[in-house]
Amino acid sequence: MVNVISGLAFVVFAGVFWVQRNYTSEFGGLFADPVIIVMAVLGLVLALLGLVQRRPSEHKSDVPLAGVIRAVLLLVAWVALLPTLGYVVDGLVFFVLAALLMRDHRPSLKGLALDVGVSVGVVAVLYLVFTWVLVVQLPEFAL
Amino acid sequence: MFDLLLNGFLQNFSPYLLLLLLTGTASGMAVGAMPGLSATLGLALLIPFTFAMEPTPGLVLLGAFYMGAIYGGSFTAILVNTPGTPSSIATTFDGYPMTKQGRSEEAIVAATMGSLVGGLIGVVALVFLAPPLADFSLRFGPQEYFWIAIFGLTIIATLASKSLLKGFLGGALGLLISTIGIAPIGGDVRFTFGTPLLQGGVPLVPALIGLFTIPEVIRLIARRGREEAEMVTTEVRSKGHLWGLIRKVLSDPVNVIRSSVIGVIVGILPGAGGSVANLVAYNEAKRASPHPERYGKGEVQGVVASESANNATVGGGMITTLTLGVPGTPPDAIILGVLLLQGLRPGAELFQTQGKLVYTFIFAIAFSAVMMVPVGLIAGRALQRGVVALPARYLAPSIFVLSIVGAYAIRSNVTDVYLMLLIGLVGYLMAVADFSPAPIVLGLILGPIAETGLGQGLLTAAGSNHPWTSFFTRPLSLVLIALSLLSMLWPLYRQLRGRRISPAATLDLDWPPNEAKVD
Repeated sequence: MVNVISGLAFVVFAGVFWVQRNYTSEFGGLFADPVIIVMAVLGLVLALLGLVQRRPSEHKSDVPLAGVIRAVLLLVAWVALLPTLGYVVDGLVFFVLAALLMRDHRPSLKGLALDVGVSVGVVAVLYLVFTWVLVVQLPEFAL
Repeated sequence: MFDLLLNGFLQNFSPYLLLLLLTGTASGMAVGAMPGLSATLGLALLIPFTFAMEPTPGLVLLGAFYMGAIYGGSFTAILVNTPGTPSSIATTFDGYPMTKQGRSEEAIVAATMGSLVGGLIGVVALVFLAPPLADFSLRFGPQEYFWIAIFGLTIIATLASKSLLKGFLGGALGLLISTIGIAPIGGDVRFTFGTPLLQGGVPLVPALIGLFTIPEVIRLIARRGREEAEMVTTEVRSKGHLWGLIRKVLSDPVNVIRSSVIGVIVGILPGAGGSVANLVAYNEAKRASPHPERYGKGEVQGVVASESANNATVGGGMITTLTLGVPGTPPDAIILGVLLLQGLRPGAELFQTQGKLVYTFIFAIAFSAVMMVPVGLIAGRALQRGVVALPARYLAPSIFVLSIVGAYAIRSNVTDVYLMLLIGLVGYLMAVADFSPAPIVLGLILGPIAETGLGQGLLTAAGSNHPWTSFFTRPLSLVLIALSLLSMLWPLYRQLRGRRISPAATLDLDWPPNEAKVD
C-alpha cells in the first residue's frame, strides 16, 4: 500500500509542476518538461507495481506514530516561533522541551536543572561562535 | 623547476607560514564541521583578512583553510549524519552507521587518513600533471558537461541497486526541485508558486540538512530514550588501538588511490568539485568491492573513498585555476579572485614570473594535508567521544539547533529554515516509504549542470540542421555515453549474476535503502 500511495504522490507532484508551467523562452521547459514526464511515468509504474506486488507484512515501523506526531509538532513549533522569539530564547525553550519530552520518567529537580544547563551551554556556544567569530547574524528576539 | 619546488617546500618551514598553516587548517576544519558553512562560504569570509597580507601568506592561509574545511565536513557527517559540506554527503552513508555500531573512532581515522592521502595525491597531480590535463579539459564542451551530469546520475543505479525504481524516482524529484527558480539558459522564472524567494531556487544546504538531519531528529525524539539503546555507547577498541585502526583503514590501497584519482579528475572539470567527486568515488568503491552489500551499513572503505576523493579535488581544482584561470570548484573561484585582487594573472606566465609564490602555495596545500592528521585525530576524536557520550535527549535538540543555524546562515533568511524543515518532513515520509535521500541530493546537484549543458549544447550547435545530433557525434560525448551505459548496466549485471548463483534471491521492489537498513 505504501508503494501505491507514494507512487500516486509522485504523479500528483508532477501534475502540480506541470500546471505551473509558464515558460517565456524555448529553453524554459527543455529540461524540466522531460523530467516532469519521467517522474509521472515512474510514479505510475511504482503505484501499479505496488498494486500487483502487495504484501501484507510490509513496512512495520519501529518508530511509534504518536512519538512521530509529537516530534513533528515540536519541530514545527520550534521553527514557527523562531522569528518571534529569536534564536537564543527559542533554542533554550525548545531544547529543554525536547529533552523533557525524551525522558522516560518524570525528571527530578536535579534532572531538570541539568537539562536547562545543557540547553544554555549548547545554544550559547553556537550563538557566540556564529555571531562573534563567524559574523553570521541570527534571528533576534522580536517581542 | 626543481629549484622552485625546493624553494616552495622550504618556504613553508618559516614560523610565520607554519602558524598560518596551522590557523588555516584548524579554522577550516571548524567551519567545515558546521553544517551550512561550506568551504566556499568560509573562504569568502577570509578574503578581507588577506587584503592586509602579502600575496604568499594570503594564499597559504586560503589553501590551508580550504583543505581543512573539506576534511572538517566529515566530522558531523560521521557523528550526527549531517554532512558539514556537500563534499561529505557520501561520508554519511557509512560513517553514521559506523557511529551507531560504536565504530565512530574508526570512521574518524578513516576520514583523516583518506583525506591525507587524497590531499597529497591532489597536490602531486597539481605539480606534475597540470599542463597536459588542463589542455585536455579544454576539449570539453557543453555536450560533454551534459553527459558528465548524466553519468553522475547513473550512480543512482548503484546507490539504490535493489530498488532502482525508487532510486530513479528520488533522482527525478531532485532534478525537478533543481529546476525551481530562474532557468540557467533563457532566464525563465519557473515553479516558484508565487513566492519571490524561490526565484533563487531551492538552496542546496538547507535541502541537504533537511534530507539527512531532520528524519534522524524526528526518529530520535519519537523513540525517546529507547534510541540510546540502539546507539552503541561503548566504542569498539582493539589492541594497539590507533595504529591498528590506521592499518585497517589503509588495508585497501587501491580504493584510496582510485578515489583520489577520481577526485583529481572531477576537480579539474569546471563546475563539479568535491560534492560530485565524493559520490562518484563512493560509487566506484562500491562497484569494485568484492562485498558491495556491506556498503551503506558501516563499510570503512566507503568513508575512505568519499573523503580521499573530496580532498583530492583541492589539488585537482587548482590545476585549471592556476594554469587557465578556469576554477574547477566554487572555492577555487574565490582563490582565483584573490589572485586577481593581488594583481596576479593565472596562466603559464604566473608559473614563470611568480614561480616561488605558486610552488609555496602548492606545498602549503600539501603541508595542510599533513597537518590535518594530528589536528584531526586530536580534535576529531575528542568531538567523537563527546558525541558518543551525549545522551540522545541532548543529542537530538543539539542537532536541531545546529541545523537551524546551518540553514539560516546561507542567506540569513528564516524561509530557508522553513524550507529545511519542510524538506526534512518530506524526507522522513520518503524514508518511511523506503526512499533513500541520496538520489534526491544527486539530482539536486547534477540538475543545473545537466540543464546548462543541454541548453548551451543546443545553442552552440544551432547552426546545424539537427542540433540534437551534436550530443551523439562528438568523440568525448560518445565515451561518456558508453561510460554512462556501463555504469547503469553494471549493477543489473551483478544482480543477475547474483541471482544465477543464488536462485532463491528475488528482485525486491521494497528493498529498504541503506539508511533504513541501518535503523
